[in-house]
Amino acid sequence: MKLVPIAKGVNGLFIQNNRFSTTHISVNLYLPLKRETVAVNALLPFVLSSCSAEYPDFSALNLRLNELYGADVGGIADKIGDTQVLRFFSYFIDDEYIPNGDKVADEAVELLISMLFKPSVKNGSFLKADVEREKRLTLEKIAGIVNDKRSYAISRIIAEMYKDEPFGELKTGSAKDVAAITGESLFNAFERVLSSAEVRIQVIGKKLPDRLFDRIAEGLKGYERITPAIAPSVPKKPAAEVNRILEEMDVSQGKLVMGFCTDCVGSERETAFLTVFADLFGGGPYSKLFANVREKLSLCYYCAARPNRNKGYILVDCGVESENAEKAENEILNQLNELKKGNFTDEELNFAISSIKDSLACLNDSEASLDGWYAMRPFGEPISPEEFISLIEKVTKEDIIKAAGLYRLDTVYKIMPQGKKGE
Amino acid sequence: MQKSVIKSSLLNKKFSLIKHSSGLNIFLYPMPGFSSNYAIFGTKYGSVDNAYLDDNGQKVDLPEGIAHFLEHKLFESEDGDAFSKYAKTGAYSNAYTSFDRTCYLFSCSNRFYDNLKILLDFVRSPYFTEATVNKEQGIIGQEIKMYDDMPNWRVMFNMLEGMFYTHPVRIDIAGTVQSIAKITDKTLYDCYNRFYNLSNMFLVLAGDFDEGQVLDFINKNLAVDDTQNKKANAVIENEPDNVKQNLVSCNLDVAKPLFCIGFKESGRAKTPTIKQIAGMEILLKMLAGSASPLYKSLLEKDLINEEFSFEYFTGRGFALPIFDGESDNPKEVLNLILAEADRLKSGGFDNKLFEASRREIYGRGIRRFDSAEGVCSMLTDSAVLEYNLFDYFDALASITKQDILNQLSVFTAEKAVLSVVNPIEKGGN
Repeated sequence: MKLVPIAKGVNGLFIQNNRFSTTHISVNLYLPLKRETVAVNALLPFVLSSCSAEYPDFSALNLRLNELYGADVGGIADKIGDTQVLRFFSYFIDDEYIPNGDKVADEAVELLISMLFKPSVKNGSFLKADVEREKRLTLEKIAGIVNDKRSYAISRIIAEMYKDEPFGELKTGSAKDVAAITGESLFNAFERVLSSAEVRIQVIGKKLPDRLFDRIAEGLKGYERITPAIAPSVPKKPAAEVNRILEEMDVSQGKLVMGFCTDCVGSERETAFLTVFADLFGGGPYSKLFANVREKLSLCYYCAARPNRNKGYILVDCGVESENAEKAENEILNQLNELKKGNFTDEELNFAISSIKDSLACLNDSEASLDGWYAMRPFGEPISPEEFISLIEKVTKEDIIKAAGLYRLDTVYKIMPQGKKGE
Repeated sequence: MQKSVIKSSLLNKKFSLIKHSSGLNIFLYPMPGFSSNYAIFGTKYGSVDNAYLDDNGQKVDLPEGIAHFLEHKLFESEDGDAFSKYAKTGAYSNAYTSFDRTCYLFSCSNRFYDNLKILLDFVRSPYFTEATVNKEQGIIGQEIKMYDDMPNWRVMFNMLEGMFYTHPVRIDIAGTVQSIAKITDKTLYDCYNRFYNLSNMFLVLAGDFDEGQVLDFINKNLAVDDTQNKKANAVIENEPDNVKQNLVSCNLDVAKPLFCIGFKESGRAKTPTIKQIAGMEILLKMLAGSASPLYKSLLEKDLINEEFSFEYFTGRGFALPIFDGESDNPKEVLNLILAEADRLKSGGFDNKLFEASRREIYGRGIRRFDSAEGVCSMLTDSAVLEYNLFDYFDALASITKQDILNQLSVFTAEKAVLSVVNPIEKGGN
């Protein structure tokens, strides 16, 4: 895939795909992740996609989108290691599939452009009602993380592991910072983001909508366009000892999460062997954790290892009875040691490699997945899933042994039922 | 073997339905140029099939959670488990049990026929022993406990328990730690022999394949025996039309109250028609969709947040509209839903919103044809509920204002069950 330079700090990527009945467009704005701006930046996509100058009322906007056969415009904020990304989408059914000769494509593109460049603002400020509504929704989302104990435990361990870095912030920013946002501060953020974000416009579909790239470049012309250097992430410094945290909650099943760190952050070659390693360790049903912690010892229903390529960590999590927590933790460490010692077969390694290859090949059948694949690779020319497959194929037994040796246990986070400490 | 090609002139799409001589219904949806293939081999057997009539016409009750338990155990055959066979091909494989079906699936980008062979083999090769059953009780016990701690799961099942007196949709799909303790290798075989007959099953395939070649392959590799036409004879008894309780609540560790509101359509164990499904989907969108006056009002009064959603919860033998979300005042949410339904009934029907809702649902349906998984999931629904998939799209186009007004009658206070999960009061026990 080749990026098309459009303007300073603005690139386009068109992936032609004739199989789909829809077109999927994303405009991705990349900024360095900073504690002081993470919350205000993150609220922007939500306010901008809920209304615009043309549709100041969200119900009217939603009605129009329904009339366009469920075309969608939307926005989200995410973290890619030490980079923050604000993503704006539009997807719509291609005109040839609309009954009665109606057309939706042009208007859906128009809605995306006006969402970005013609917000509903007054006197240098977003409208209070819009800002307060989206703030409330974000604050309730943050408060609601605790409802799902598995996700809650994962969000808590990340906050603990990275408490000294911006990456430790939630992708929404903290509740305190969200509460402090005003219509003015959000408008300032809007101008700063459009002036300084690195921009990537991605289109997946049969054809590139007319002048789409140019029109977004034109929209950005009114801004100063100082592109800040977004850069690959910094790995976590090794801790002197393992940080152990125990939280007691009113639950019937305990949760155990173990965070392991490496110094490998983001190169595709490293990503390839860390991906295979993680899959062999705790991915598919052939993995060490599934085969031993679940099937052999019957300790858990799930026990999985999930890597984060941008910060180079891996999280192993499981739901477990309090009296079995220590046993599960020891077995997880034991299985990591087995991999370090090379105690796995070529067949098991091939299981992991072919499973990853197979699922990468399936990415081409989903516009949203392809869009996500490229959007999560903001540093220079992104590698395609096919190119990544060729790196996966080259991973050897020695790479896995090396990968296993790179991980150091950093933090253990446990949630246990009241009065049961799982020790 | 009888093959028919089902076409939609509206969508310009088609699929083949093969009534195989074994009784199995096979749905084939070729998607030329796609990289992935998706397959579902399923049976019309889920948690609602909790009792059957034996050969003497006597009702036999089954342990709660047995369909789900059987799904877990079917992965193991005498010559190893299905997961390790798929590991060799690189396919993604999984299975799930819901209220009215059990499905075994894989998706892959290569070695399609090897994967299909694995699927056809292991689903037709039950192997249960006392030891393997015991091992699974620990794993499923943890799965049940995981769901016990999930407030969005609890709030929904509490609502179903409040709505129904006896209808088995009120039973937790995985059962309880106590009920699964009653399961033995023998009860698993009994259920398998009864509910996994090919005439009770369906096979759905979507992806880049040649139909003739796939059919030849199935004919060569599908194990058929002479018990195929044995009737499953599951029974779901009718129950009163009124709800059991209007309000159900419990406490869990949540940030703010979760609610789930259901409306009881009927006590009869009846499968909804396709027109009923299409009509209610449009109605729900008009009533509470993101463009509706009710949604705007709930949002602006701080009564709901992004967790708010609704669905027409349907399956074999049940259908009910459901709303769920988080709110500090769930009773007020229910009151406003009822008030909005009354407003629509008495002259508040908005034709523009009606048409927009119809289009949105149509567009969402069209998009699902872009993925093999989406296609298989739609065809599976049509196989279980026994309708023609394309009729759904025709029904969407044919729904009238009067249809919507008729379906509005279910939204009354008497038919409603409000289930709430409240936060645990801090400082208490």
